[in-house]
Amino acid sequence: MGLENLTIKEIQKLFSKNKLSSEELTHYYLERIKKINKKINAFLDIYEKEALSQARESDKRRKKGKILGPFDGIPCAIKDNILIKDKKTTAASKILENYIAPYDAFVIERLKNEGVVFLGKTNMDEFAMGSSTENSAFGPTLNPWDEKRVPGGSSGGSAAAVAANLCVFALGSDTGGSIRQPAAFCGVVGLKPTYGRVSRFGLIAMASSLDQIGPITKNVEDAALVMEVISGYDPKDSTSRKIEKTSFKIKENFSVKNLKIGLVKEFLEEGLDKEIEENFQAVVDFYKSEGAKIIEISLSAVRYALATYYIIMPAEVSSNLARYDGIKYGYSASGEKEGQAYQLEEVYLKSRSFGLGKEVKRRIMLGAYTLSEGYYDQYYRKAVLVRRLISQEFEKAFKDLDIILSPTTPTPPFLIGEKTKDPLSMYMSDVLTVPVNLVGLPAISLPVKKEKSLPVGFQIIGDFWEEELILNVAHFYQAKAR
Amino acid sequence: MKIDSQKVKFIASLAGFELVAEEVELYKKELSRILDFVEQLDEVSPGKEPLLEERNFFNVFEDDRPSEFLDKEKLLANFPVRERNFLKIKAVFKD
Repeated sequence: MGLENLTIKEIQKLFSKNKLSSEELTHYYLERIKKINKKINAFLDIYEKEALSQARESDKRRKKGKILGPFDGIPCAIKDNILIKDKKTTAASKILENYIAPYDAFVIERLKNEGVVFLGKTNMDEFAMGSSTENSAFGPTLNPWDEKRVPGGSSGGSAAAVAANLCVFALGSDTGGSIRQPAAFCGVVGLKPTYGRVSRFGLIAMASSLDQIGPITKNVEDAALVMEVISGYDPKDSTSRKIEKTSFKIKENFSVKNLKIGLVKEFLEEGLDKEIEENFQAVVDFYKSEGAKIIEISLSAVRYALATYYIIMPAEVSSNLARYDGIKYGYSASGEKEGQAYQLEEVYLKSRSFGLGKEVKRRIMLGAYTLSEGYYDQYYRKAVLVRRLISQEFEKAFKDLDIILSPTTPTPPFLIGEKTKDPLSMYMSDVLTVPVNLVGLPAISLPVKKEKSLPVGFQIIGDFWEEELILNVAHFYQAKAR
Repeated sequence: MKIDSQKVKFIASLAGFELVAEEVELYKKELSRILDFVEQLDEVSPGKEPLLEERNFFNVFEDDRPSEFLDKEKLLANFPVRERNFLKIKAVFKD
């Protein structure tokens, strides 16, 4: 039986009919990882033995008719900034190279309660800072569609693992596009939930007013299924919200007739590559032909979203990453060996200088500067105000719209090394994804259907807590477009 | 905003790391460019203070309920230098 690109639903069917065991499936993925990971470096850690034993346990439960939940026995991969108890969790940084997580993240606990099989941890940009996975301290991940190109980032390992069929689904995190942009570059589906929808307890913090965990999957339906498991209120994350809309049901009879779709003028001005423009137009034409109403709007403050993001995010980074000081965990220069520190202040300086990478230092410095005395008002406070302006514009727009449609990225996947020398040009690749994080809205990226060539994605943005709607609009395209 | 070497070293000290000469040169250029970019916000006049009662921004208050972390040994095992159940650190002052 061919196991290529099985979806969660297909696997659930095969499992329940006894046509496939979790052990067979897990073995299949582990063999593929062994072969393919050498080339693309999507995984930083592979749990061969444990995965197989988790799979056997799941098969035993199934035989007894006592499965833990619909996900029992389904193998997945986890971005290496999400804590799995007793496992190395590095955030792809040297400073956490030997850090062993003392507890499970909320989302991991949820997955464990379902009996999910963990295949391993996926590569990423160090501390989720980057758009290409080239900032990993453990080498870049390559795009499985073209190994000369980047898979996007920062959840590049997760997106590449799903695209190369090394797991059924993966978890990523999205601060400014880190789920959606790599999903677009790798031709898979990525969902960034509404801020507050998924608990970040056990996620290594990057920028706390922006971070969200979400699924990367082979199709839209799978993303909806994973959301059922990982979302929900958690008192351990004070930004976690108790909300009424908790359903993520895909409706087969869903229609986009009279659906009000907004196209934001400012999104389509951002120096879009011709290939992106053409593919996006085809998506718009599809929805139009199915009866949706296309409404062109202008959100003038969106033009400033990227600049706003590059003040707010580094400010939060500089504060969140102050904890990596070489004292309680992680790399420390406080050993007895030669060249190590002999005094406390020096432990901080030496541990951080050695343990943190170039981009991480760049962002910490930027944040330290814009928050420093005499500059706070000019930069940070101003950015907070502009952020609010952007939020208000979106809120107003959603009074007359159901969803907003845009390309996910301004270009197709770029070449390895193409943007590493110029941080600003790297930052530009998030220009279409960042506004969503600033406001806290949910958004999904899915691949445009087209002739064989590099993947191109488009993004559906919803109002707060409207994941179910954007999932259905996305599924509709996947099911009906040609 | 032009950032000179002196400033880069100052920011690095705020950020808690030391830079070698090449890094100072590199960050001088890069930080200046990034600051030039974010300064486009000067064009916007965003109005007054953010209002905190807005739809999705509010404070979350909770009772302080201490509970015990059961796997203390797992936390201690991550200590870089450990003596029994204590974290050992270097002297605060030189000599």
